[in-house]
Amino acid sequence: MRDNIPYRLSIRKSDRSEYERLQEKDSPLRDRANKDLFMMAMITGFCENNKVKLDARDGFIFDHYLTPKDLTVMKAIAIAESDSLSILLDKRQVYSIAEEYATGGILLLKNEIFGGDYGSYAKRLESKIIEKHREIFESSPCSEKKSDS
Amino acid sequence: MTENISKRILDKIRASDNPVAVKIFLQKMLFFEHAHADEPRVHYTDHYDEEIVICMKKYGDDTNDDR
Amino acid sequence: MMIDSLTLKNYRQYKDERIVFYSENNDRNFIVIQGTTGSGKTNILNAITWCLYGKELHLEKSKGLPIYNTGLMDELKPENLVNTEVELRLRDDENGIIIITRKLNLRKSENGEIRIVPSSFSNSEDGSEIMMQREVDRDIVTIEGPEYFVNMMIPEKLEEYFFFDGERLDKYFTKTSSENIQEAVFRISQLELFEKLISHLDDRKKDLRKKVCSLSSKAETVREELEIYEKSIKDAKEDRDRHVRDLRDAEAKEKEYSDKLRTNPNARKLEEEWLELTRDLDQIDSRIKKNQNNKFNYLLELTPPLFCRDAIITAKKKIEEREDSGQIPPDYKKGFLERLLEQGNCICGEDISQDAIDNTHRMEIESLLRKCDDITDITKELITENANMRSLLDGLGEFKKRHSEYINEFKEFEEERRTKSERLLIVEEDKKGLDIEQINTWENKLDEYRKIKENLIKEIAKKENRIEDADKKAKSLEKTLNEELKKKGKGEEAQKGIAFCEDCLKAAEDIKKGIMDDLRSEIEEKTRKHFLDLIWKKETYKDIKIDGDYNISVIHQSGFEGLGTLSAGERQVLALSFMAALNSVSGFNVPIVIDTPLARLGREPKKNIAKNLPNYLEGKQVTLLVTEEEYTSEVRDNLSDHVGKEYRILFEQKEIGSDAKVIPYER
Repeated sequence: MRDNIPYRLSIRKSDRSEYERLQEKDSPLRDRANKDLFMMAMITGFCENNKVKLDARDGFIFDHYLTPKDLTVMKAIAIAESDSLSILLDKRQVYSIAEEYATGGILLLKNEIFGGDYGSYAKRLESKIIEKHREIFESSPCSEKKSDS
Repeated sequence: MTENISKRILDKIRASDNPVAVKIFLQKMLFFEHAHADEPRVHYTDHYDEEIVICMKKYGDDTNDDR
Repeated sequence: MMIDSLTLKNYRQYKDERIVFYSENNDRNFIVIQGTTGSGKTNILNAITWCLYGKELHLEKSKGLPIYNTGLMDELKPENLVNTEVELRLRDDENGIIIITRKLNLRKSENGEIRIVPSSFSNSEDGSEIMMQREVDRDIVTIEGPEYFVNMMIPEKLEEYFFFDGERLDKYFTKTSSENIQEAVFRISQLELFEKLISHLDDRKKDLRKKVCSLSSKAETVREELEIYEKSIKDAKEDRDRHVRDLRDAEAKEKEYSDKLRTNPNARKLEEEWLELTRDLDQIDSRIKKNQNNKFNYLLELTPPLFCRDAIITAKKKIEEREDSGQIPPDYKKGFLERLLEQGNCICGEDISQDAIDNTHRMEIESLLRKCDDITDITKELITENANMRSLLDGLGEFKKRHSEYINEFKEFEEERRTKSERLLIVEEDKKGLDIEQINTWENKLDEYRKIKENLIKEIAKKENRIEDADKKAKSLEKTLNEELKKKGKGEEAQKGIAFCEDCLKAAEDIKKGIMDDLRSEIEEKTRKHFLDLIWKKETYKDIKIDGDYNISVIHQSGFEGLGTLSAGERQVLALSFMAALNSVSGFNVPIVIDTPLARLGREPKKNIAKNLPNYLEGKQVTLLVTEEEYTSEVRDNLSDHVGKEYRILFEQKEIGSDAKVIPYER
């Protein structure tokens, strides 16, 4: 899908300051790359089912910074969203979905991080993950096999 | 002036078990030393030699402590 | 002898003061002068020693300040001559008066500078001049050679035993006390006269021997050799004695540092452990941080696939459906078919262009193309992504294991941290109050003195061997010499003289030793009596011992040696007792002046000393220079029967200089 023409994933212009906030000294994500912040925002938006169209676009990251795992996740979201594998034919559409979810998730992510006490975001994330994992893998006897189905 | 050869020293000499000549010599020389205590160079040789002879000769055979 | 009066003119705090010490009532032999610190109390003592010896022997607080009264000198007009003067009037046992006056001439220059004008008749370092007079039947007679007579009356070497600083007393027993006591006894008993006698007599003996031996050449040779051995014995003894003194000093130092370290035996180990623990804890903290970071990274990485798991599964399902239905991998790729049609040539070589004669082949390909899904062009990607999605999902399955690994590692670090922190607290508690640098210094010093001790012991042994060896040889030579002289029958008179000298020498040594022993024993007894009477912990100590080497022991009731455990106040009592004992055996009837005798003592000890001291110093005039804190009403009451004169120093610090007045005491 990725051709040789680099693509810049964008964020909403007005959201730039939110991303910058996530990189300030008191943020647990202060040492993270832009693409990680984007991915986290995207996941947050996806989990809350909150897609927001970008009005004013602001180039944020080049797609060659995304890892294969990142791309796989984005593609999975796009396929599930469009209910068609054909969406992979147009990477712009895949990225557009990712961008819209990221836009929908950035504020939620920011509140998630700064809503509690400093240092507890890591713990809250950990708890969320443990709970989600339990939900998935321990809710039925065949839960471990779910990934194969 | 106070006599400052302490009484203790003199009594000790007198009470000691020594010949009279020795006791008298010691007393005499102690007074001599005391009298010249502060003089940096005192000619003691002649005085000592004289007293050795005197005490030996005068009291040499004396066992009497009355001196 | 007693002090009749002391007059101070232009001397330190005193502009012009006359203090009368004499009281007609012999029973009232105590004089009390009370003053605050810095008011001029100790300078009364300094004035006395300056007058007698031209030296202020108790100058600590006033060091650096000029001897004259700065206020008085400031008022003086330039180019004026003035002097600092102290007059000490003494009253001897027959009530005769001796007046000792010391003067220091001063001139104020034009620019206000004060300069000393040394006297041409001065024998003192500071350029002051002493004069001594005696009152004889209302006539004043000047005594020639005042320095000599002063030293005869109150020898400078013994000054500290009559004019002493109560605050210095307690140091007496923390140093090499045996050395001090031996020296004190020696000085006080005038045994140096014996030393001189022995030295001179020995000299005469040698001279006589020389004369006798000159009559026989063999005798002369033996005599010369004997003299060499005698000299080497003398030198070896001097060296040995010096080493013994040094050894005592080293032992005292060893004990000093050993006592200091006794409570801190493991200081070095503690310090090393502390360093190690703090380093370890830093490392553990780093590891914990790394663990937490790694875990967080892992969780961040896990978040997208975990929370999009359903989407991944859906996508994967779609791909697998196509795989199962044979669409992936496809027989033909759409793009491939499109290119074929575009090219107009099939891979089998058939013409499939639009203008082809037979368009059946083209129509088949077009039919295939119509059936072809767009996705055939991205089959590779779909297969790859399927594998990637499987991998992501498998990764989710590993979460529990990996998460546990992080947690367990963290727990291990935490446990290690807790253990080490607890140990660190203990070490820090033990270290509290320890000055590690100080302790290291002490330990080094202790090692140093131990080494010095070892070396000195070896040296002393070497010297003793040398002495023994030389002694044997000397005795043998002496025997040979005597035999030789007898044989020759020469110089009989001289030989008798030599024998007489030897008898006198032996007698002198024996008497000297005997006196030292008697004195030691007397001082021991008196010190013991005074100490046990004065000490307030009556049930704590039972005896004082001064052994043959003049080592002082304070024997605790339980039998152990308690000198090292005495408090400062107790040491003060011991020192006062000892000084009182020394005074009573000295044979010198010199007035006593004690500066600050009761500092650092509690209420009871102060009272006790005030009550008993007059008994120990009976018959002597005693002047006490006290502070207000020392001279409590209880002390005053206890001393009152013995106090003939009582004063207070009224001190005023002026803009320039100060002014002290000695006025009668009024509560």
